[in-house]
Amino acid sequence: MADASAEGRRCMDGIAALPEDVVLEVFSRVGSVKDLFMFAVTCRRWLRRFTDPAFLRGLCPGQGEEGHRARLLGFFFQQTRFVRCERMIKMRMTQHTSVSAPTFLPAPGSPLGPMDRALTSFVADDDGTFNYAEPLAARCGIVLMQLVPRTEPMTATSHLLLGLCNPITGERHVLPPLESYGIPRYLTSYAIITAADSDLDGKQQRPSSSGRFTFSQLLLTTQHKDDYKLYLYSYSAATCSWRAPTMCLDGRRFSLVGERSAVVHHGVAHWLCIDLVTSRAAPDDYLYKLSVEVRTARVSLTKLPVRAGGSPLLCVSRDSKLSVACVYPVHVRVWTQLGGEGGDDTPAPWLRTVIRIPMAVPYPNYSLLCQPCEKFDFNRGSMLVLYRSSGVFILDLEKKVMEKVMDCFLSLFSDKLTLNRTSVAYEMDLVEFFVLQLGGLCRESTGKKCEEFACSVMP
Amino acid sequence: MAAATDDAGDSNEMIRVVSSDGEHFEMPEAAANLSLVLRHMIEDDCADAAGIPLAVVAAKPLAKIVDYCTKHAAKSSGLTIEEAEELKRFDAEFIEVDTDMLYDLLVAADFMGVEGLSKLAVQRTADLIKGKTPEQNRETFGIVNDFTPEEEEEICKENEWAFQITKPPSRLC
Repeated sequence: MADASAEGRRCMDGIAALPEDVVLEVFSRVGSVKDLFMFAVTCRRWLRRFTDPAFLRGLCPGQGEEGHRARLLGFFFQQTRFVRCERMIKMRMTQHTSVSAPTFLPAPGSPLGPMDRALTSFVADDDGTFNYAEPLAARCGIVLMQLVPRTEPMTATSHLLLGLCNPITGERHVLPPLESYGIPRYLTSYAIITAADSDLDGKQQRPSSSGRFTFSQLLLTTQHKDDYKLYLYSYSAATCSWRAPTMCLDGRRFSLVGERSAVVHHGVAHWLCIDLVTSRAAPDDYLYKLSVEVRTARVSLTKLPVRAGGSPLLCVSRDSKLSVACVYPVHVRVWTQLGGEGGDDTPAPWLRTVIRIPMAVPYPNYSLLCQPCEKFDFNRGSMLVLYRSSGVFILDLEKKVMEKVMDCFLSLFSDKLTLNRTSVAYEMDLVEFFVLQLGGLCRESTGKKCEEFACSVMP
Repeated sequence: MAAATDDAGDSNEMIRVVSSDGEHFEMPEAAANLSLVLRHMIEDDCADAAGIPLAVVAAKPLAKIVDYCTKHAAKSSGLTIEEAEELKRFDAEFIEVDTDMLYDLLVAADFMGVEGLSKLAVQRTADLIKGKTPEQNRETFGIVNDFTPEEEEEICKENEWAFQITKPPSRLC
């Protein structure tokens, strides 16, 4: 203890005096956001550092200029394929060991640790419900899962069982079964709504600190086999109940396209759909937007004045404007709605930009463009592209650059059987998360800096 | 401590290093090679009888580092399973140190470019943070709580999710 170095450090707390890169290395190895939180709130000095975006960016590698890569924490997927028949259900009831919870595959350098791990290592799951879960979508840190019925009366499609959890905060919800009185029906789309979304009245954009990552509502649509009608259901976390369904779309005329998971924008959930009737006559002019206002559950269908084509995908641009990306094999046509903040009644013009899909990082057997791929909105004007046999890329629709995130998803797409398995990208901006959660507490010390940042990161 | 003879060209040569507080140490060349900084100096013939001065590494951590490198250099290639196990046990025991020594090792290993030791010390520090309450962290790392009780209450209230040590079993509604 007599060494000069230890002596010199004693004036401050030892760990704070370590070189910045060593400190960051230590924190990025903790592998749990909650544990980092518990460290951040030990004293003012650490609270200040954990609300300093520059410091936080050092924690998540791949921040780069835009930080798209840093937002991708990893993927959730279910390794087991659940066959929904009575015999299998009986078998599963007796063989508890043969199932496993969804797996989390971290992106390289993910703050959630370097190794694959089970969803249940994040979230308490004493009754094993999540062992029978298939991830469907994720938004703002919240993962939506379809649960597989474990008792005989709930077989087939007559019941929909759903669960949600936030692996970062440990929040967990198992929703009451959605009964359909014997009529088979299919889940066609969904929207995970946070408390911050429900607070918005369309214009207001004040960040409510924790609401950004707290589950508040689930919207979903199902299609009935017999009458082709699409029904909208909404579940409220506050009342723990489903609202009575409303008919929202005629499945004979319209069909949902693009992502099943909604783009939630200024308190409204949006999906794309196409007009099946006019699309035959006018091949470019058939794109519609199905919108549900979160607070009122008001449904509206708006024709989009854009030339559609390719595979369309709804996105939100960096400056928080709604856009439609029509993805073709070699290029993307992006339509961005100008002005008109969420105002559906005053049609705002849509601006077209075209980008060629850049040749990303050179890759052996480079034949990306003709490979089957999946595309997802990745917020802030970017799109996540999963090429089945080469890797995961993020395409920045504004900067027109493509960034490679990770190599071939061996464990996700390894064999033919698993090709139709959904893997859910788990995206969360941890810089934003820390600043929003803790920023309010250090307001006196760092003044307006946190607040301003909080506003600037709110989409 | 100036007893080593100089047999230039011998691969079993001992390398001498000097800590910031003037203490001399020596270790086999193979051990010194585990440090990037030392290896480059050896390659450039800067390792002489006077010893390589390490201005930011004090004697106590340096003694540990010499220990670490000597052990790891002796068992560097072609490890049997038992040997690998033994090395693991050595590491686990080696890093059981107080936080002051841990900080010194972190800085020194980083400075000297001893990758294995860096990783070991970083992981140990990270492990100390895992699963702790703020109070436990303060105790472990000697951090002084400078929040007022009101501020502490606000932190707990705003971040309830983090402070729920035992999560509710399930919210079946």
